[in-house]
Amino acid sequence: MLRKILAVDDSALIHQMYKLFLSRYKNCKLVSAMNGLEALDKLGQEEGIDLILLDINMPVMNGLEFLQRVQKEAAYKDIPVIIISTEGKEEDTIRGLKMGARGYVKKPFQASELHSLIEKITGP
Amino acid sequence: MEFEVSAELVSIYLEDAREQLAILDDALLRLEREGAKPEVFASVLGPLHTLKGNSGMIGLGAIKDYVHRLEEVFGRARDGALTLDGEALDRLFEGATALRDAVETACAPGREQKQLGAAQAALAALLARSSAPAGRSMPAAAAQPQPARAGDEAHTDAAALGPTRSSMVRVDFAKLDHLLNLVGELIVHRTKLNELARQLVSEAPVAGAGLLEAVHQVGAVSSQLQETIMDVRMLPIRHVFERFPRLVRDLARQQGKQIELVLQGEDTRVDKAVIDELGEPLVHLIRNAVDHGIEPPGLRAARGKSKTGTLLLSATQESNQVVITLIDDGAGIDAASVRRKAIERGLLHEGEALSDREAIQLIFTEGFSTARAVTDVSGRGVGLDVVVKSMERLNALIEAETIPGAGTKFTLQLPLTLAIITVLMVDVGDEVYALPSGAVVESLRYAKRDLVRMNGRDTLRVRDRIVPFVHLAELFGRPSAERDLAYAVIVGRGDKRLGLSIDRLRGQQDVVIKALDAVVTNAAVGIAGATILGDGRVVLILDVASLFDSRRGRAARGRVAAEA
Repeated sequence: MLRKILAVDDSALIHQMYKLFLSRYKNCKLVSAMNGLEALDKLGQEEGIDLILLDINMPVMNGLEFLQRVQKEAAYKDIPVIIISTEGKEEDTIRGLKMGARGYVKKPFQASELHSLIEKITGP
Repeated sequence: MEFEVSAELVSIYLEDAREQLAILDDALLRLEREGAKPEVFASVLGPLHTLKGNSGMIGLGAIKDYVHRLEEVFGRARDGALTLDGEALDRLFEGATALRDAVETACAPGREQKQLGAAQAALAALLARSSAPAGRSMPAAAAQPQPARAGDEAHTDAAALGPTRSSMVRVDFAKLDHLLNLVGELIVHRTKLNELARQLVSEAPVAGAGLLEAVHQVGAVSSQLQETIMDVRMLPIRHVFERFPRLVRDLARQQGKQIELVLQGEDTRVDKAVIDELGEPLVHLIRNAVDHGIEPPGLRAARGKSKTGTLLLSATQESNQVVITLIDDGAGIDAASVRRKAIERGLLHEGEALSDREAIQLIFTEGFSTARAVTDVSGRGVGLDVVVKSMERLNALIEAETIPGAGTKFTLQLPLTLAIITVLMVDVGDEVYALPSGAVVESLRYAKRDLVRMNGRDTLRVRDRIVPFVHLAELFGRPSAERDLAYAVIVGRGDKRLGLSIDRLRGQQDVVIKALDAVVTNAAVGIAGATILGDGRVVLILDVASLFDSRRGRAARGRVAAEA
């Protein structure tokens, strides 16, 4: 099954790594956003997003604010969210999971780690 | 690592890391100057967090660990659990230098990962000094409303960065170069089309007029296209200036001086290629000003000046040039000692009349250095001629003015871009060559009797000055008609002048430079690049500095002599 993944992160490096990591698996298509606000915009533009990879620490609109907005929208609230967490921000990750995120990976993560979590959540 | 860290990833990482490290330097400087303000911590914590994440992702463990600790230090300082006194800030400045060094080394071709043991230990010692962390920061954070918490580290910058950042695209600079080249060619073809349309008008007026009109529109659009691409290549000069506060602080400390650096016009936009070339000469000038310009506090006080010296670095745009000035309120340059030194070094003949202002410009001459002792600060024994070489690469002019006892002012005039230059087109035999307008002092007609043979070389009398003279046609092995009255262009490099014989002046023009292979540029006369004329002919742009250069000059002279 081809799935469309919205990756939200303020680091261009991380976006490049997603591209690199997920290009190995033929069943993922990437959509990128540099912050929460841009991500909301992309949700409105792009049809059928299957999964969101969400960084927390971002300018303009951070990951938790974004998550809160998404959870309020009937059209988006069922899209699974994976939190991309960084050392030292564990409390934010926990908060995100309590707000409805379905899982998390911690930077630095490996391609296989990310992909297996994606498959676990969206099906093989 | 499960994957290969490609050069592309490293370059993205490095570009971001440099920005994040500049923010770190800036935050440390502000903490030193303004004390522990919450907005300073807010501005640095977000970028550090991203740097930590990025470093981890490309496998730079030591850097990641250091930044992690650093976040902790700033976090505690923000929460009031740790006071950053002068001693602590010194450690953090040292750490920032070690961190920058580690990042650069890790991204350099060898990809060597430096350990940050000492810097890491310094942070651990700082953290040990702070009050127990567990009780302080966590509950305070948890008590805050949820969404505000994670954002607080970044939100100050957010408003400014937000709307622009979200619509940004990263583009390799080489692609912009290519794009500009393509537009340059488009403009060349447009000129050709224009000529064809004009011919057609005389044979089929209606069709010709229609074509002319269409060509005109294509022309307007391609001009806009060129302007837009030039605009895209422009960056604020802040990218060069932003590392100087740190540089000045460190240099001043090393030498026990008190210096305030004031920056002005940081938003002035300049072509990225200029920005890339500008850093080194400016570092040199600033080092020079700190080293030789601004006096130690005691001496300043004795001279009735404030103990803290001021360096003012400013940039302004004036038509198609950027003017950068560096002013210090230091000791000034003593024209008499410059003269003495120049005579010692054989750069000036005893008894040669030179105004003070002219004498000062000698500091830019190769082999000149007024430093009494070679310090590790300014120039490492190398003079300001290094700066002059950079200025030549940039087609720029530099000038010094000084008031003994009061200070010195360096003025740099730079082109806005290196991609397009204004040239003087000249005919030499049946070929067209271009001379960068910046190097042209004047053009004149001369009579054959104005040429004077001295030491087997032709020289030209220009008013009261005798300048060396080069017959370009002979230099290029082109036939040239013998005339009684001919044209010459006088070119300059510093205070030196050189006359060039040419056959016809075609006038000035802005051209897009195309870089040439090294094989061509190694010819007897330096070629700065090439450009294409409307009729498709390739025109070489002469590198005027090389005509003055001794090695090439000798080769050129030899050939001239052989033909004479």
